[in-house]
Amino acid sequence: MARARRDPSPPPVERPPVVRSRPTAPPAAPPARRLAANEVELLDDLFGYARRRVADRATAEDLTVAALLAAGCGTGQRVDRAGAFRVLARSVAELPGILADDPDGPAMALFAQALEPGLLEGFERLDLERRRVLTLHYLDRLGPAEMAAVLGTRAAAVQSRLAASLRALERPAHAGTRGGSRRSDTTDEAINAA
Amino acid sequence: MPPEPSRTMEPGDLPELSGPADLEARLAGAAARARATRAVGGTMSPRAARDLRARLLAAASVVPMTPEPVAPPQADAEPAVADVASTPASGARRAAVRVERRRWARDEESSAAPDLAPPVAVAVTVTSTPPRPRSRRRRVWRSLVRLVALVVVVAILVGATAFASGRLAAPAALTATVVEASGAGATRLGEPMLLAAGTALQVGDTVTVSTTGSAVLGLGDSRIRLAGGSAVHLDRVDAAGVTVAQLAGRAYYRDVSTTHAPFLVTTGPVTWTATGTAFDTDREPVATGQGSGQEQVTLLAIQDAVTASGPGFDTSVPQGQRAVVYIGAATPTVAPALDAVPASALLDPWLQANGAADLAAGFPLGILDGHLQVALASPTASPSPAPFVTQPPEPTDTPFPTALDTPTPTPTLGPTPVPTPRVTLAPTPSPTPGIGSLALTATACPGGVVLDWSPYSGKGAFARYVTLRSPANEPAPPVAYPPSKTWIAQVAGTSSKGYSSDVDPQAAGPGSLYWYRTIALASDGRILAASAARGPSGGAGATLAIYGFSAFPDPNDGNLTNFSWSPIAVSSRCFTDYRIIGGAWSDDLTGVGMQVADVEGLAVGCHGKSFVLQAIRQTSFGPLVVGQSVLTPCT
Repeated sequence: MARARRDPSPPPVERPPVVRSRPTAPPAAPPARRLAANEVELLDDLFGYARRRVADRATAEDLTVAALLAAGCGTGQRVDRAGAFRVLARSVAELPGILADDPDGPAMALFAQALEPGLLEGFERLDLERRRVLTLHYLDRLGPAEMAAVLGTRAAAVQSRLAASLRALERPAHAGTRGGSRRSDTTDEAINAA
Repeated sequence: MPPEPSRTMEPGDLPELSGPADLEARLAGAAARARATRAVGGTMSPRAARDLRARLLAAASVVPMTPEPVAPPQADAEPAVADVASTPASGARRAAVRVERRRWARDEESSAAPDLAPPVAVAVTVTSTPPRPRSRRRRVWRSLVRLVALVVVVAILVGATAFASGRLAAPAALTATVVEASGAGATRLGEPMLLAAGTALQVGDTVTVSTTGSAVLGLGDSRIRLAGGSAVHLDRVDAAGVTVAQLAGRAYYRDVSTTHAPFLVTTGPVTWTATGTAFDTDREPVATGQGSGQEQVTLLAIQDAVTASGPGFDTSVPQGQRAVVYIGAATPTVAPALDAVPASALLDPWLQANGAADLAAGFPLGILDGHLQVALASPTASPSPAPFVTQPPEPTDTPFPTALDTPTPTPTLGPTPVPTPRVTLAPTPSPTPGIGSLALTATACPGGVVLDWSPYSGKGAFARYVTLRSPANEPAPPVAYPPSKTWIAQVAGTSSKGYSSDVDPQAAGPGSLYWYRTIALASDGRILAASAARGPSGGAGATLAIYGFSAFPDPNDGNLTNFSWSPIAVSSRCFTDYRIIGGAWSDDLTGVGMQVADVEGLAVGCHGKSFVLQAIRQTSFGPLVVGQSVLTPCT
């Protein structure tokens, strides 16, 4: 079993860029601008999504900015939330250390840690896609369109999967519910296969 | 306002999909707890939010995302926040540079598809069902009953939704504790109390530090480092904000709020609002004869800006600026005078020590970047000891600094500190020219002292690390190799450049306290980099016993085994994993925290076997066993 080792890489230290002075007069300061309410909300949602999957805060910020720009934020046009989450999800999935077939793994683990023991057992019995949709809906508070954009499927499929996940969670668990318990991978595989 | 095609969903938004409300509420509650996790909090800190928004706006002003004319703002795009400065911060410049590069890259790849693909052709329309027309023939009492019921239902739904999102929750209490204290006390409800590390603080407490003392207060993740002779009063400490009245002396503030909470420091009629993350404030009386009861307050904006507000003024103090304001009854307080922080001030031992603490915690140094000289300071060589103990690393998202530790730095064991609460430009230890710096922590754990150092990343033909040790009653090992004193021993060393930790098992015995220093050597014997001396550390004793360990077959599957035990209690910096060993089989319980007391369903048969549980601290050279149970047969 792999050991939980901390990343030995040195911390990312933000250093101000070298700004070279220009011979010409500096450009006029941009006018005061403000983010609209929906853009602020999207900013926070995107950053939260990225932060729960990316260990490095600076990387999460960069990806958030890129996704916001891709969504049209700041252009005065309607911001495409689903598009922003699709771009962000793709960017996250391409990061080194993120499993291509399980890009929501860190977020799912975070969500699972916070679940009550009874719910945790049910959650762990679910297959990966159902765990992902529960995580996206409850932890990341994404709507069907955004979940569909992240998962690369249709919103109707996401809704169906979410409903099935909730029904599955309602079913009683067959094992105990002691705190801190976990099952081995072989057990999970057997349960999923059943 | 036209409805948005999609928005952030809340539990209950999909009623046709929802299970029982209890299940939804439990899931939402778990999600809220997960989002509140400090390390991955879904909301940005005020600094990060400002920086990110400034970067976004700066980037947007540089890179037009669409060639079409900008459409007029929509009705729902009205400005809603007012904290976005018109002047881009340094982060904004960085973002602008990066985005500009990206734009150029895209321009070069003219055939490349735009980054944003068309949205999925699915839209969720959020509409409200129009109310049914009410019949006038219905009786009034029924209407009233229904109205009351409707109000109750709406209140419950709104309350549940708000509770799930935490929006209606009262400001959560923020943990206020003493991180380090020496010669510090507090007054609570008129009763004096002595402060020590771990003492809980309350709103209303007045913390006073003696002229030879020091203290570090932790308000959540933020820190207030108090110099000798200082005093602060805690006016407010909760998740919605921190307000501290600085009554006297000098204090260094590091705002690490994970919420959008303001951080305010008041000095008389002047309120300093942290719009940045680090600043230093000094409040001292004006010398006799120069003012009648006046005090001078000097603020240094170390990292990012601070806003000074007072009677008739509201002034921003940008990073790198010094603000001086006079308060007192003699003359009205006027706006602070600003000038650049002089270079000599950056050599102040007080600032140097704070910078070193920030560096160890992984925080940006601001204007101290490039001016830090105390990294190589020996605890015995400094003519003016650091005004406060370098504290353990503060919580941070960066992975490496959190692993470092300065668990038991007790400079008081060294030479008697010179009572110089008002730090002057005393000579400071200069780094050896051409030598880089390494971070080092020495953590006293059961079984030995764990040494963690930062890998050497500089230039030069790296050959090996060596860690030198000297007894606590002797001077710390100097930056020299090979050691010239007989009391200096080499306790760790490796030629693996990527290795960054080891154990000194000889420092476990009672009273075994040592100084440590790690040095990176070149192949020709030159010193490439060296750490500060750390310690004295050690004396944590031998491996602890883990009690109550038992192993028994899983009642649901005889091929699996369940285990339970009484959790060990050691410093989190001495614990990495539990490990269960049964003959040739072993399992590191990765992800199982120190407080966990049982584990179920491990894939090993139980009958006829015996097991041992260990608590281990991993290092580059393998685990240090800090706790162990007795060999226990399956029951």
